[in-house]
Formats: sequence, C-alpha cells, structure tokens
Amino acid sequence: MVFSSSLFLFAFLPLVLALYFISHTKIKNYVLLVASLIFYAWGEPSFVFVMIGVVAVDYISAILIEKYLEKIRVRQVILIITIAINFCFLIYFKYAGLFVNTFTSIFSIENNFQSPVLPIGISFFTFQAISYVFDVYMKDVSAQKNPFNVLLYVSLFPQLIAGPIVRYKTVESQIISRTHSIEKISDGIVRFIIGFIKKVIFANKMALLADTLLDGSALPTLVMWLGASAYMLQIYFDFSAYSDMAIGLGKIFGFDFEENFNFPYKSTSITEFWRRWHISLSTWFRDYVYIPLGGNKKGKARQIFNMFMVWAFTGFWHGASWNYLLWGIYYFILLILEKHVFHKVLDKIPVAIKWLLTSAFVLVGWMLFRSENLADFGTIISSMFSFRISSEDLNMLSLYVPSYAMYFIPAAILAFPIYPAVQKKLCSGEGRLAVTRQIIFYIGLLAVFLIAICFMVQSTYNPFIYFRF
Amino acid sequence: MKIVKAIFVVIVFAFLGVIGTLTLFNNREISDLEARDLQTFQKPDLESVMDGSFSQMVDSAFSDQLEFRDFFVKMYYKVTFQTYNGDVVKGSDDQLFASCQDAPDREKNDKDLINVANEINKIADSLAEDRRKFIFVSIPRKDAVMTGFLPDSYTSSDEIYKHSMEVLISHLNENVIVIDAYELFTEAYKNGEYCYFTTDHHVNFTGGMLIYNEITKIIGADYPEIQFTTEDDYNIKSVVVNGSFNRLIGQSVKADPEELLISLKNMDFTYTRTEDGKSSSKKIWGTGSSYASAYMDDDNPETIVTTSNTDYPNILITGSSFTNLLEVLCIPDCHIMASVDYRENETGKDIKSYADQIDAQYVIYIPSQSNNAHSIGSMKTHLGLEVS
Repeated sequence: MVFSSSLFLFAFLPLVLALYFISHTKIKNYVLLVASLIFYAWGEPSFVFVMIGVVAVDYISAILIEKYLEKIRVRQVILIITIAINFCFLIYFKYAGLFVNTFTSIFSIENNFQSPVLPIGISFFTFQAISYVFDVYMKDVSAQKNPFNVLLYVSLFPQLIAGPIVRYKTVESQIISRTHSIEKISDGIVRFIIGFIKKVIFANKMALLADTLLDGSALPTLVMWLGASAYMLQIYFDFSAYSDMAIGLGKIFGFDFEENFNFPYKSTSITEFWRRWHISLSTWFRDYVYIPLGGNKKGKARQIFNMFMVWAFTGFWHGASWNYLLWGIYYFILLILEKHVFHKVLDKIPVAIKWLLTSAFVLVGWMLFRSENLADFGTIISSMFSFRISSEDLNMLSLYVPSYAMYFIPAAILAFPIYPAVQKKLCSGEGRLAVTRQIIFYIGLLAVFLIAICFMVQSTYNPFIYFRF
Repeated sequence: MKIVKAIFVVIVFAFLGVIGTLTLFNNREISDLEARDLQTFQKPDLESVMDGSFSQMVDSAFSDQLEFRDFFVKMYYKVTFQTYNGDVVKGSDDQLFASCQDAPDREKNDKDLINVANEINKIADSLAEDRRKFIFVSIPRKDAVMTGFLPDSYTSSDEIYKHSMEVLISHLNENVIVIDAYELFTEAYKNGEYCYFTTDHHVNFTGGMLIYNEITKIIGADYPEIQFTTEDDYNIKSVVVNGSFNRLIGQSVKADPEELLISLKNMDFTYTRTEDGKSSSKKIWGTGSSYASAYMDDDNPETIVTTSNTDYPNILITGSSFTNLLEVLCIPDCHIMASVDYRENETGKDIKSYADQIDAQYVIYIPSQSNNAHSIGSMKTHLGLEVS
C-alpha cells in the first residue's frame, strides 16, 4: 500500500486512526501492529512472513546477547550469526539474481535461475532489525522482552517500506509509552500533507518529465540538462516526501522519528550533501560499518579502505545492479578528492562556485544512479557536456518548458529551505494575530492538499522510486 | 491556538473519513466523464487474497469508486489549465489516438448522412452552374488506418467510416468529385508509410502529398501546367512535433522527429495574404513545430492568399485545421487560395458567396474527421450550414 493512494488516504488511515484513538492505551500498540502487518501484507501477503522471520531471529538473538552480555566471545558469535542470517535473507531476495547472472555470464554457463520477487522495503527493515541487535550488543539498549514490541518497531507502517531507518534506541521508550496531544497530531498532519503534496504534485510530474526525456536516447544539450534536472528534483521530492509523510504519521501516533533530509541541494560540498541526504542511512553506515571497521582511528590508509567499504555498501544497498555499486564508488572518489586532495583549494573557492560544483557532481551522480548500463550513462553525459546548442534544443524546450514550468520552477524553489521559514513565520507567536496567521496557514495548506488529491485521483503514474530498495 | 489546531485536526480526519465511508457505498460500473468501465468492489476468496489480486482489485475499485471522483478529475484539469485528456488514447510505439468512436445508431446516422449528401449536392449543383468544380476530400480518423498501433481494447472506426462513405457516395451526384483518402492511406500504411503524426490526429506531410496529388489530377486536367509534386520539390525540416494530443497529456511522449515542410525549393512566385479582410504578415509555412503553427500559422476564420501566378486557378477550401497542410500545398498552384473555417467564421457568407468573390474554379470541402468519422455536425458546419 502506498501513502499516496486513495485507499490509504481515505480508508486505511482514517480507520486505523479511529481504532487507535478509541482503543485503551494498553492495546494501542496491538492496533498499530495489526494495522502495520495488514499494510505490509497488502499486495504481497506472503512476504509478511519473511519480515516476521527476520524479526524472530533478531528478537531471539537480542535476548541471547543480553543473556551472555559478559561473555564477549559468545555474544560476538551470536551477533555474527544474526547479521549473517539477516544478510542471507537480503542477499537471497535482493542480490541472488544479480550474482548468479553475472557469474553465469562471465563463465558462459547456462542460466536457468529465476530471481525471487523482492519483498517491498526489505533493505529498510533488515537494517532496522540489525541495528536493534547491534545496539543490544553494544549495550546501548536492553533487549526487548515482548516480541510484539520488536515486531512493532520493525513493522511500524509509517516507516516500514521506505524509511527513515529508525534506530531502536530512538523509539524504545516511545514504543512502551508515548504521549499524544492535539499539537503533536496537528503538526503530524501538517507534515504528512506537505509530504503528500511533494509526492503527488512535484515528484510525479518531475518523474513524468524525466521518464519522457531520459529514455536512453541522445538529446540536445539543453534538453538533456532539463531531463537530468527533472530527475534530480524527482528523486529528492519523491524520497523526502515519503520521509515527510512517515515522520508526520509517526507524530500523529505519538512517535518522534529523526529527520531524514535537510535540504541536501543547498549543500556546498559532497560531504555536506551526505549529511543532508538520507541521513538515517548515512548515520547507519557510519555507526554500524565505518566506526566498527575502525573509522579514522587506524591511519589514513585504513580510513580510506573503510570509506571505500561504506560507499560500496551504500551503492549496493540502493539496488541489485552494478551501476549502483559504481554510483557508490563515484561518491567514494569524490569524497576522497574533497577531503584529502583538493580540500585546500576548495576552501578558497567562493561559496556560489562550490554550490554549483557540488550540484553538478550530484546531478552527474544521479545520472549514473538512473542509468541501467554504462552505455546509457555515456549517452546522457555526452549529450549534457557536448554543449552544442541547436535549433532542436529550442524546439524541444518549447514543447516541454510550457508544460512543466509550473511544476519545475516551484519544485526548484521548494528544494531550498523556504517553506519552513514561511511556516515558522506564520505559525509562531502569541495572541490574536498569531491565531489569524495560523488559520491562514491551515486554510492555504488544505487548499493545496485538495489540489494534491485531485492530482492523485487523476494520476495513474504513481510509483515510489525507493520502494525497490 | 489549541482550539484552532483541534478544529484543523477534526476537519482533516472528518474529511478523509467521510469521503472514505461514502466511497464504500459506491459501485458504479461506468464513468461517463472518463468514458471507461470502472473497477467495482468484488467479494474476496482465499486464493485472490493470497495471490494479491484481491488487494489490487480493492485498490483499483476504491480509486475508481471514490466519492467525488468526477469532481476531483475535473478540478485537476482546471487547476492545471488543461482540457480533459480522456479524449486521448496511447497505442504502441507512442502513437496517440482520439478516444474510441462509439458505434452510431446506424439507421439514424444513415438518414443524417443522406441529408448531408443532399446538402452537398445542392451546393455542388449551384457551383456547377458557374462551372465551378466541387471536390469532397474525405479523410478517415487515424485509428481507421493505423490499426496495428491500437491498444487491444480499442475498436478501430474503419468499419464505421467505410459504411458512412458508402452511404454518402451512393447519394452524391455527378457534380461532387470525391477523393477518399482511406484507400490512399491504408495502401501507404501497408507499405510502412504513415500518413498521420505520431502525437497528433492531423495528416502529416506524406498524407498531405497523397491527397494533394489526387487533387492535382483533377486540376491538372484543366491546367496541364499543374503537375504532381514530390517530396524532392520541397525543403523539409525534421523536428520533434508538438502534437496536439501530446499537449493534452502533458507532453508525456517523446516522439521521434518527423518531417515538416518548410518551403518550396524553387519558389518562383510572390504572394500577399489577408485574414478576415485585413492584410496579414503571417507566413504560410515554416514556422513553429506544431501542425497548426507550421502550416498557415494556425487556424483562421477566413484567409485569402493571392499569388503572382495569375494564370493559375483560384481555389476555395472549406474545413477545419485538416485543411491547413493542403492549403500550403495548393498555394504554389493557385492564383488565389481562399480558406474558410466555418467554426469561427462570422461573416454570414456561404460557400457560393466566397466562390463568387474569388471566382473559384475549384471548391475543396474537407470536413473535420478529428473527433468523429463523418460527424454530421462537423460536416454541416464546414458546408457553412447552421447546425441544429
């Protein structure tokens, strides 16, 4: 089930909200758990058992780790086995097809392997489950005795299939006890609506433009830049919208998830970009891969190796295709160059130039990310950087710009931190004037929400990009 | 502030809940607005639940049955400044078609066609009195010709078209010369030549040339200096065409470049142009990348182009935008080419008046086929008759 569907918005959500808020505090978690399992099972019921299997392994492992907390070797073995089992699930469902196909093609072996269907959100819930066991291992949290609470932590429907990757320690106390207030619920609704608007109006329209233009064929320079920029906006609005909706829904149900995006396209360095983009994934890799490997504390060569591992994993996490690995390595190279080679030069460059450079490298990265093979990527890059402006550019721009300017321009503006400032201005303060401003804000938001619903109802073009991860 | 927030929360939840609840009571089978069957709610069984088909059905049904769905759809087109795109259907290879034509009430339609044929005869007879020839060019809908690109659920209008033409031709008299583009286009289609733009319902350069060469056969009989033209006689540009259907669906199709005529290679004449009686600097070809802008620079209620070819005939063309390309092709072979689009023409002049005004030797009548093959309304409109 997707958040931007009629069924979720007008049936699932109101029904779950009603059941949740009329339920006694003691059974609120069970209402949420059942709702989350139905949410996940919707469409592919059998995969709910895969998720329950992963959770069962991690629940038992965490209990065992806590039991043998003082026996370092034993808990290490349990941790390694647990992580291996989790990755076995992930590798089988997500990467087996890629590995078998690559192996058989290299050695020219007949290949009859049928890749299994990918359970939605497996990368997200596997990482959440691993983080729970790891945190117990690191003694950051206690093992949860109630298996339903662990299952709820992993399966909680707002963040289940496209993140953010919530740490157990973030929500441990909230699972057991959390507060609900009108302020929190209304803030949650506002956040959900903002995400909904970002997804159905901007992400979907940018997707349409990007898919129309970036079809693997060569294009005039300006048109290719338009297509690439549309994809850059699409992926941001798509993914950050989902996080907004997840965080908003979390608030409505009393949870406080951490932010996942912080206007990444305002970054003036690649390092900053990754501090603002998919924050929950970056910090996951930092805490569970980079630091355990030694981080920057074992010399420069080891640090570079650790970074390589992190970025290779980051790339591969995004998809079972070699282009994702290349995309991860692309960022590894950029970060090495930025931190260790050009850092003195970059310090002297004006901020505007740094922003332009960062944006250009990110955009090229997205083209690598999107391309199904290196030939497609080569076509895109050669079109983008041929700098041959022709009448064909103007002809094609005259087709697409009028149709998409009303989405592209606001999307480009909203990718920068403008609306939070407006929201803060309108929704802060005390007194009658503040109330009036707040009412104006709500009316405006509801009006755009209504328009977004019109877009959702009309549209059949509604894929969430990040579901495939 | 807390009360405002509480009211906001209640409004949102109530809005979602009420629409959701009302939706459960809907089970419409057809959407008149979207002209399609709707998914209805079905009872579940274990197999459909386990294989996921039940949830897919509920997703589709809930979306299709959503309370106020028609309102939301209409609102979408209003706020995005578009016309409703239910008229456009996407076939294979990005070919866009007008929505499927409903089979008409044959008995009534035949009667109407006979009435129109009689009207055409009357006009052709009155023109014949002054030795003016009346040429009826009938162009089928794109879906009647390019049948191999249609979606499975789409029924081609070719049978409707062929039947209508049979009725019409059998009731037209000898003063009406008929050029039926169906045979020309289907023959070309079989040879891999397409006569329509990919993202537009209009006839492309190939189709236009096929029709115009049929016209030159008729005119050439009286004016031997007017000969067939070939593609080699023209300068052509290859561009991504801004198709009118593609515009309706937000330019979501990137069709390959297609040919637009930009000029004659040997342009040995000059011309002046008037629009609605006023001098006009609009070009006759070569501007823009859409059908309308490339040919005659959009539709105009009344256009008169006078060339320096004083020995050539005068031609009056009546019809919709389908005439534009033929006007362009005609102009080099005309002394005067007048074009009338009766959809917007408010002069009150009928075809005979225009023919007399320019002393037309030929009157070419091209009723629009864009929306409905042989729509009685459009046939009458382009004869300059009032449509009841």
